[in-house]
Amino acid sequence: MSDILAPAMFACLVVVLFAGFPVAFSLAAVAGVFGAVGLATGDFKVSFLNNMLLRIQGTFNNDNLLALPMLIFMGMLLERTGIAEDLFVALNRLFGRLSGGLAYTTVIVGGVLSAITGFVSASVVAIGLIALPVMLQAKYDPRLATGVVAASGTLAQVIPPSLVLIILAEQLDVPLIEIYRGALLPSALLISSYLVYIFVITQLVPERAPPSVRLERDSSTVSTAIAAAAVTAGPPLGIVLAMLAAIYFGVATPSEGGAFGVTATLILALAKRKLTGRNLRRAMDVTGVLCSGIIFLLLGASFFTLVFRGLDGQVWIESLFRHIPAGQIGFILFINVAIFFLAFFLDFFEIAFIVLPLIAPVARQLGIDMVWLTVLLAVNLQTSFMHPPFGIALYNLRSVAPLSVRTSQIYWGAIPFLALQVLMVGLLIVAPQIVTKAPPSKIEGNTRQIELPPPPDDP
Amino acid sequence: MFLRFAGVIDRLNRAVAQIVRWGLLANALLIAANAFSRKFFSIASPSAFDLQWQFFAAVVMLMAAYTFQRDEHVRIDILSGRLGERGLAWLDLLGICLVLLPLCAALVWVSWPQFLVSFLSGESRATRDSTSDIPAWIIKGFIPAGFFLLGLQGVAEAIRCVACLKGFLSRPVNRRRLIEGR
Repeated sequence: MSDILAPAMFACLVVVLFAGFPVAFSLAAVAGVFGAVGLATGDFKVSFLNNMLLRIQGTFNNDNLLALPMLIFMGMLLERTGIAEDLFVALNRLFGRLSGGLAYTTVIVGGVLSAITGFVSASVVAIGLIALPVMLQAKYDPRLATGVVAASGTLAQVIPPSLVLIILAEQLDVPLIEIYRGALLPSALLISSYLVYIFVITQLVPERAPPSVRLERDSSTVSTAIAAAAVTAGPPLGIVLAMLAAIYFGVATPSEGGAFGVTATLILALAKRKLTGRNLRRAMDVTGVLCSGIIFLLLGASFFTLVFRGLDGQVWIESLFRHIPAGQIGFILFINVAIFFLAFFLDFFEIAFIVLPLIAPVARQLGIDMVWLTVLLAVNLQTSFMHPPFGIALYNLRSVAPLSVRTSQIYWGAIPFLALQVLMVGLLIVAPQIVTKAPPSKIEGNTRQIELPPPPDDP
Repeated sequence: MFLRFAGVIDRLNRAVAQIVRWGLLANALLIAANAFSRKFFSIASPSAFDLQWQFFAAVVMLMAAYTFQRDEHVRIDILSGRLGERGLAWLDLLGICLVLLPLCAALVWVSWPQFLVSFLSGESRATRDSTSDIPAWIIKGFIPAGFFLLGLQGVAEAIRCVACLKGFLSRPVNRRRLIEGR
């Protein structure tokens, strides 16, 4: 009996998911129905409803998940109080003299903001609203401008302490700190590849990204511009980098780091007199709604996985994977291609909560390095989110871009950055040591000397 | 009349959310203060640490209904996006009656006795490895309360779907105003 139930449950899931009712409830309901059937046919031994309650309580007792509201809250505060925008403006004064300066600024600010919010949609929309109009006004090629925004927004996937990585760590049962360490070099490589690409483009075709600050109008010297930028951009960048460093070197847990980040951001906003009751309430509102949505999805999915495993669904999945030849490599390629296409239809959380628990035990059995797999999947998802025509980042960008920008321009703009990301996926598969070997594994003695992650080199 | 009832539920859940969201701010300050006192003064109060989970649970559980009201629970709208207003109303009505309400009822039914037991017995271990004196019924109470509010919001939305199908009301399709805020 049970060998029919698991596939039936899976089929039922697909139908229910695509029906369009909120995923969290659908998942839990499928779990409930099949749990009841399992109980009735005797395939299911323990009362699973009590287990579900334990899962709910366990969710709130998890330090990694507690970091989610903190990081989202911090990102929302930075955005709502206008600190993020100030950061952009200040850096723009600094780099605006260069051709392509705005694009560099966008990548840097995007990287910082993405690292905290960790939401592709949220960061694409935020960066799109802040940076896109300025770039278009400066007569940037719309293709380049939209491509840069989409690419910086999807960086949210991979830059620690991104909540995407937190959730992947939870789902694949890997220590979060190792994932952060593993993701650092790949994300630095990605950022530098974007910057290098912009540099090359602006050298070849300068009119695609003209300097936005005209020298004759701006009489201030370079040094005063640097000083002004340091005053405005320094504190928020400092908060973010300090938080990253504290988590990275194990001084603070992710939730503590996030809480310190929130507190520091609040103080900064107070000092700048940008903290109004309205800003604060809005930031809390959005954070609460987002958290509730994510955690409910997580709960629904964990009910589903619980019942699915109870019905020996895992055995069924493993038997399916036995048909794939070539062991590890075959598995990795298959998983990446499958997830790449799934990400056209499902968003990150659905993939992380539904698909990953199914494949994680298989990967473990094949002896695949889970940290490497996690980072690889994160970069792969990032690629998928930028892929025309379904990529969610492009979809979000369309919703905030002015109508003068054609959708085809957004698609074409994404392609060079997409190519860079695909290269990155290939590089990670060919050279896993980028993730596994690069960061020093012994960090205990390292806590005194705080090294900030190397800033991306600006050409 | 029914619509007014739905409006009352909306206001109730909005009010709950507006109170609970302050928990986020309180929690951030609390975690930071806890970490600070632990690192620099080696003082750690187990109750203060347990309070972190309580705030987290409160925000997530009690804001779920509000999230549903704003239609912010993740959906896959690749097919349903083509249904049109009446189709969506049918979909939501069926989903609420067949999925959401039974689910909330089941979870309230299971979690309510646990809450009662821990409330009456004065159980003080909120989680398995906690050592604080914060009574366990607080966190166990959030679960039935959250699902009860969610179920109520489901009733409100179902009323609206029926109203839409009967042509009284246009379905509030675009409630997704997350990015702009209110």
